[in-house]
Formats: sequence, structure tokens, C-alpha cells
Amino acid sequence: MVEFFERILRLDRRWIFVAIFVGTVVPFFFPLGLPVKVTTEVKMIYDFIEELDPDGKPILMSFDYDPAPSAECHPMAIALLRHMFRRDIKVIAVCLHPAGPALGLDALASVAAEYDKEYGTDYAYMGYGAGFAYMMAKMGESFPESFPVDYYGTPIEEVPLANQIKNYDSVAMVLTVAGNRAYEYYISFAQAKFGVKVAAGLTAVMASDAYPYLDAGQLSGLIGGLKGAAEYENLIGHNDRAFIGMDAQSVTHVIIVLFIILGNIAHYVTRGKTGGARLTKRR
Amino acid sequence: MKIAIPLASCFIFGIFAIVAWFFPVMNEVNKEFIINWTLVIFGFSMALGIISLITSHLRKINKQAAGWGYNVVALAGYFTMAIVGFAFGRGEESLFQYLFFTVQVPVQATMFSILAFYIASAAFRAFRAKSRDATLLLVAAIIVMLGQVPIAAENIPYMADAKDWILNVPNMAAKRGILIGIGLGMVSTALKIIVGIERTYLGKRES
Repeated sequence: MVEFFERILRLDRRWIFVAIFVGTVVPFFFPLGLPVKVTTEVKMIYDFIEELDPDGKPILMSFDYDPAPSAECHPMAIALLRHMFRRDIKVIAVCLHPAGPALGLDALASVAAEYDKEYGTDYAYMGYGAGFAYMMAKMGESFPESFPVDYYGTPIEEVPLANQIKNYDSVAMVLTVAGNRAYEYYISFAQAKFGVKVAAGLTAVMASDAYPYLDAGQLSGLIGGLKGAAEYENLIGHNDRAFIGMDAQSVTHVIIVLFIILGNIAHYVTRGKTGGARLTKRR
Repeated sequence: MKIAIPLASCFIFGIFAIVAWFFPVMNEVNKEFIINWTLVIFGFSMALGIISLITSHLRKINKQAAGWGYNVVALAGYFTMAIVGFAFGRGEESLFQYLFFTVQVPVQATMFSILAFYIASAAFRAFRAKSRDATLLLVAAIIVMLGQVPIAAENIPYMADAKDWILNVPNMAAKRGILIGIGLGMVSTALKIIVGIERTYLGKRES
């Protein structure tokens, strides 16, 4: 028995890689279709959009992620856009990450096509604005000065929806989908100064940092990681990439937990015997 | 003079920024001098970054340093995207968009997803219940990991509730403490810099 656990401690890490690979790939071919429970913080955003008047103020959506966390952030952005376009809510989009404009364009163009939305009146895309936090401050001072032309180079005066935006007072909510701390700056420059609601879609590792802002009412909703995106897809009744991805995430989480438990049992059993924990060296 | 001028500039601009931000009488000044100036400086920093990137890669290619082929690839990628973007536009069906989604997105997403493999390996080797604190951390991590995914949250009673409690109570308490600490630390450090007590930004000799 001890010998078996010693072998476990000496396990080549490539076997762990194989297990994770199999656990990730197999659920895509044989989906488990596991149900996703909706959490309060995700429902808050859904309820806000659901109750919004389509003829009222538009939502300012900020694409603040690059391709690295796009597996988590892109499905969130698409699910949010589907909900907003389905309810005929106007969307004015910006991007504050230099590697994000193409992702924002992809999400907007593909979902707008699904719902037959017209550029310029139903939605507008202003593209990348350099300066990050300072661009957020600048948008509060003057939106037209922050984005004098849209993504395609059209002057803002010729984009009817964008031309209505003066500052954060002109929008119903700021929605940032981010792989960084953009939401903290939006809280400072938009929520605290203008009283506009701010909600965020964040990667799973970042979501835990945002809970204090949620509880304080500074964030009006939070979508955390792929699970949050799957919850949103569930809420709008359009299960897509996030829902499918949750099966893979479920299996890999279980595999990692099993490895941790196995490692601890092996460590406990072999304590003080033939080097014990020292066998756990990197291989 | 070498110390007095930077200290005086720091004091004047520091006080100016505080007043401009917190008092509405200086809204126009704030807009003109702080936000616009910073955005201009940000623009220059991007240009500087591009120049630095190109020269650093060119230097390595010139010297034929180890792995200089990768530098060629990096520069080729940079110029290809720039030329394609400027020459053919960046619309939905553009070549720029095609290259972005067939090269950059898979490459960056792959690099990011490799983390899952290393985290699994590191967790197996390092996550040991060697002490009371480590056991607490281990148990909390397992509950959050399992409570986060439906396979456990839906099938193990109270798992999702336990995960929510960990995130909403101990996690939030710790995060709040850290955030308040960081905030107070930032304010006190900023004040020390403005009034000239903290001078390390001037360099070792001057401070």
C-alpha cells in the first residue's frame, strides 16, 4: 500500500496533463448538459435590463478584454448583447483595451445580425479609446470629445445614437466586460461621480475581488467567469458556448480536486517513510 | 535646485490635482489640464512603446542573438497586422479581422489555457494539509472549486451554499480589509510625496 502511494507521489506530471486534456476535450463530444443554478449577482443585471424602457437611455458597453480571457469574457458579452437586442435596448459600445476592438466588433456585428439591428440607430461602436482610466474620466467630461469618430472613422455627428451621448448622464448603465480592473475605475469615474449604475462581467479569478463593491451597492451586478456567462445564457434561454464549456470546466475541477485529495492521502500515508513528502518533487 | 525644483513641481501639481478633482469650481481646468494632458502623454507612451519594441527586436536580429528567428516572426506579425489594417480596413469581413481571429485569438487563448495544466500539476504537488492554516485553505479551495461547477453544486447538498458563504463572508471581509488598507496606504503615500517627505522617486542620492 505504502509503495503504491509512493508511486503516486512520484507521478509524472505529464499524466496529470493527460487527465486534464481528456477531461476538457471529452465533454465537448459527449455533453453532460448539467443544469446551471443562477446566482443573485447575475440575476441583478438580467433584471435591470429586463425592466429597462427600450425607448429610454442606451446602455454603455465597454469591451475591456483581449483574446487571452476571451473564452470566459466573449460568451458573456454575446449573452448580454443578445438580451439587450432582444429587448430593443440601444447599445453604445467602446473598447478600452488595445487588443480588444476586434473582439468587440465580432460580438456586436454577429449579435446585431441575429436580431436585425441597424448600425447607428440601434447600436454604435466607437472602437478603442486610449488612456484607460483617463479615458473613463474623459467620457464623463465629454463623450463626443472622447470619441470624435466611431470604429469605422465616421464622425460622431453622423452616428445618430452616439451623437445623443453627452456623458454618463446620457446612459442607463455602464456594463464592462473585462479581464482587468476596469470596473474599479468605472465605479470611481461613472458610479461615484454621476450616480450611473455600473455592472461587470469578469474572469473567474477576478470575480472574488469584486464582491465588496457588489455588497456596497457600487456594482449593480456581477457575472463571474464562464459559470456566470452560462447562468446568463440560461436566463435568456439561449444556451451557447458558455453552457457547453461548463461541462468541461465541471469535469476538470473534479479531476483537480481528486488529484489534490489523492496527493494528500499519499502524503499522509508515506509520512516519515522513505523520504515521505520529498518524493513529491517536480518531475 | 536639483532637488528643490522637482519637489516644488510635485507639491504644486499635487495640490492642483486634488483641488481640481474635489472642487467643482475648477472643472474646466481639471478637464483641460489633467485629463487632456494625461491622454496626450498616454498617446506618446504608446508611440514610445512601439519604437522600443521595434528597436529591441531589430537589435537582436542584427546581433543574430539566440532565438533571433522569433524576433523576425514578432516583427513580421507586427508589420503585417499594421499594413493589413491600414490598407484594407478593419471591418467585419476584413483581412485584419480574419487574421486576428485565426492567429492572435487562438495563440493568446492557448497560452492562457495552458495555465489549467500547470495549476492542476501545482495543486497536486503543493496543496498539502501540513498545518491547521493550510488545511483551512485546502478545504475552502475545494469547496469553492466544486461549488463553482454544476456537477458538484447540483449533486452535493449545501455545496453551492457553502461556496457562496465563503465568497460572501470570509472572502469579502478579508478583501474589504485589504482594500481599505490599500486605500489608506495610497492616500498617506500620496500625501507624503506631495509634501516632500517621501522622496525615493527622485533617485537614491537625492532622496
